[in-house]
Amino acid sequence: MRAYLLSIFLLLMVGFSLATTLEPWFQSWAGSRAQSENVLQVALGDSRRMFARHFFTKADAYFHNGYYPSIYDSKEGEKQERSAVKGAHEHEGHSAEECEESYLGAPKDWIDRFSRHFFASQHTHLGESDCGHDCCKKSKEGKGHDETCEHKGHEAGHHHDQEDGHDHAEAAKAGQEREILPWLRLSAEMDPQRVESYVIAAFWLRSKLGKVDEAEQFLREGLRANPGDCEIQYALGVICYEDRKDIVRARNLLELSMNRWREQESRKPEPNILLLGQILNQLAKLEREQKNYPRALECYTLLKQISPNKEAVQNWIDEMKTNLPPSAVASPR
Amino acid sequence: MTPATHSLDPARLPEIAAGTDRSGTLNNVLAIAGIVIKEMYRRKDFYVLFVLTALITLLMGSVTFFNQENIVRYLKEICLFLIWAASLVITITTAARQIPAEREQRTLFPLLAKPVTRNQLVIGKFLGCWFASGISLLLFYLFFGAVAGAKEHEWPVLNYFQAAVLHWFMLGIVCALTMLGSVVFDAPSSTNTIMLIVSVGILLVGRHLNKVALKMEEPGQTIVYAIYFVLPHLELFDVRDLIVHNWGLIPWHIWAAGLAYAAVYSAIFLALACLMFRRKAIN
Amino acid sequence: MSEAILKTDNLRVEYRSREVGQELKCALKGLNLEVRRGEVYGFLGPNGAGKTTTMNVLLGFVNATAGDAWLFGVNVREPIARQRIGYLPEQTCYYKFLTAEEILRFYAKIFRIPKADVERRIDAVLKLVDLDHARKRQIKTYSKGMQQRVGLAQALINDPDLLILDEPTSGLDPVGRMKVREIILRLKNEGKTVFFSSHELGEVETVCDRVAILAQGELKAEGQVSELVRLHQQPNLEQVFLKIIGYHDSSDSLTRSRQAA
Repeated sequence: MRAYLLSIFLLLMVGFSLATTLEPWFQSWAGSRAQSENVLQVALGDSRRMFARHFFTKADAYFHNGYYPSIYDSKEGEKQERSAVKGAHEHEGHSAEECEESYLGAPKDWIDRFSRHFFASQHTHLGESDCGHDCCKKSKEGKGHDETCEHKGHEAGHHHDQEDGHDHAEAAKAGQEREILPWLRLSAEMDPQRVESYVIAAFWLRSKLGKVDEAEQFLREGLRANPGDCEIQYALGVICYEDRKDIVRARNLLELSMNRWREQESRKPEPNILLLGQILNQLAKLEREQKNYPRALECYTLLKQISPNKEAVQNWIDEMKTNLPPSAVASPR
Repeated sequence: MTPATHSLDPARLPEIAAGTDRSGTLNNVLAIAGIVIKEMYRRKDFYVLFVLTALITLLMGSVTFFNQENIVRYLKEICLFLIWAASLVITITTAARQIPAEREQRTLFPLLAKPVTRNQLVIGKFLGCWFASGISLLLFYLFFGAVAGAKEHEWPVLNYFQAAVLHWFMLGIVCALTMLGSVVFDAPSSTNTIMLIVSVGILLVGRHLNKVALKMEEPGQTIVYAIYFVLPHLELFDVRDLIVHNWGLIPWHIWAAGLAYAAVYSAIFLALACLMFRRKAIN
Repeated sequence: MSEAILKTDNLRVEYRSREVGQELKCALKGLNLEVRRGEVYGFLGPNGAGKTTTMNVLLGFVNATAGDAWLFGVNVREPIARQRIGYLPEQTCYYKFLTAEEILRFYAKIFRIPKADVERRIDAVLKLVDLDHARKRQIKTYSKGMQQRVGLAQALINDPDLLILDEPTSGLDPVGRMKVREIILRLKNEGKTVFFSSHELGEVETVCDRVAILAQGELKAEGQVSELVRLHQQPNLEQVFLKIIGYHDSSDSLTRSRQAA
């Protein structure tokens, strides 16, 4: 028995020694196979990107309180799938009513009609104080609630109380955006190259949850995984400007992000014009507050070229020009 | 008194005729159901799945994200997903082995040698599996309520009640369908596999078959739409999204209609199972 | 003459054969049996004779192709016909996760034995089969002999008037076989009717009032053991059995042919 055990042990030793001897030779021949220290990334390989996408979609679904189109829904629905998480981030103050119409459409048969009572079939967002239904809006306006209304999607604990108004409901809804954070975290974990996860999580952390430190930390994590990414740099610049009040750093980051945009995005067939617009808008706002009007004007001028709402930008330019003495509006650098 | 009930010893009181009247049927059915429930809590399946669910849920609950407290929805979703997976496994594996195990272990013969009909056997087995899955579901949902309530500090008891009962009735359909499968396929492993695939398939795709049908050409459209109308829509009873995202109560009359829908399908599958079992040779 | 507790009339059972070219296999060909109240009736035959098929028909497991069978005057297709019988199958298997007591309680509930009598009956049958010491243990911990005794206990739980036993001593040691014989004789003394099949012809000779010998689905002989022995001019039941089923000892025929030469 002892002989068998010793033989097995000896064979294990020989095997281990051979492996350690041959591994460097193999790596010199086939290259290093280890792409990451992360166990998940090694185990899942490229399929982790699929998981990351799923988790990101999950965050969006959570933002909509479970109301979300499936892969079987119409092409129109797919376009409307344009993430409201992202959309809200890009257009702050956007509400459920401003979103596109329901992907569900009219019920196709009695089973479809019946089934809508059993899943989330109303378009709502986390943190909104009503469910987007007309009767709720009327109640908010003090016109009373239609008790015969059997609309779905009535938030639990939401009281249509005219006297309390929706302050009670507002308090209950404050900070609900935190619910999307685990999925964004998981999405970033699965695919660190998915920049959206970092940017969107940071947006909600800092704007709705007051967690500026955590937002910045997460963005820096994203920057480590994606060195020089303009979107993350922009987001960091916003934090420095709006939360830290560190103007110098904010300016540097915004300028850097704009330069990076020019390097990375401008070569693409469909560059992210929206991001450039945001960078220019933020930079212009910063320079205007710092009374660096020429630079601000330069930014607004560039913004006007790419913005879909040129009139509004022109109004800002005109406003700036009329409210300031001519000497303050010097020729651009 | 029939000859079969007439006691040959006048000193002894005749016993109640069993198995023929309504109360006798109920008595036999409940006796058989009791055996199934006993089997469930003496086997390890339920305990293993419950402990696994609890462990994973508590592990996920101990994680914090961005130092943010009171993030609860993801935990509710994970817990409910595990509960659904575990309950499907418990129900299908329990129901799939009832009749084949009775035949294989030959416990069927001493049982049917008693005044028990085959229909009573099938119905008793179904009720036993259904009640057993209901008991396990109750424990699962109590755990879920405790975990969610600890984080959320809210206990929407009526919402949980609606969800749990809908879930239980859905398991009734699955149970009845599995029993039908177990009568058709002799091997429990075949029934398990087929039923798991069918159940998960309906849960994932059932709601969308009409959309798929509308995109197809004839005769595919008619066939798929026919399947859509005929198959039991188990996804109707999956109200996890409503619970996770704190939607309001389902109107009670709609909820009751859902239960009635489940009862009808369960009855149909059970009737088919009884019919097929009556014609099956058991020796 | 006492009443017929068990009766078959031209009982015919046909199965679909698995052999190619042969559609139907006839397991029973017009069997006519009558078992009277209070007698111990032995049901004999070689393997494949139709004994188990007969029992399956009597117990409602299989429907007869033609003919009928009655228990206590009730057609066997009615569940009520099985109200006053006890059945011990050849291969005893019971719910392994239950204890002996729980199995008996389950079957007592099926028979709707009044609650006041259940515990008394369970105690009585467990003592009778010598399983009182193991009543709280699950069946999966029992030996084969103990499982056989559980089978006997469940067959007796409802104090049946007719006991149908399929090879009751199969797999038992000599002590176990003796106990089964004792139980059968005790039941006989109590006025019960016992209908059993067995290959142990020595036991059959000891306990049976009448025997029937089945071969190839047909009833070949029926009557008291002594009558059959006298009629067929054989020293014992075994020789009668062998003669009836047509068994010829090859060594005998060799000896005769050598002697003739």
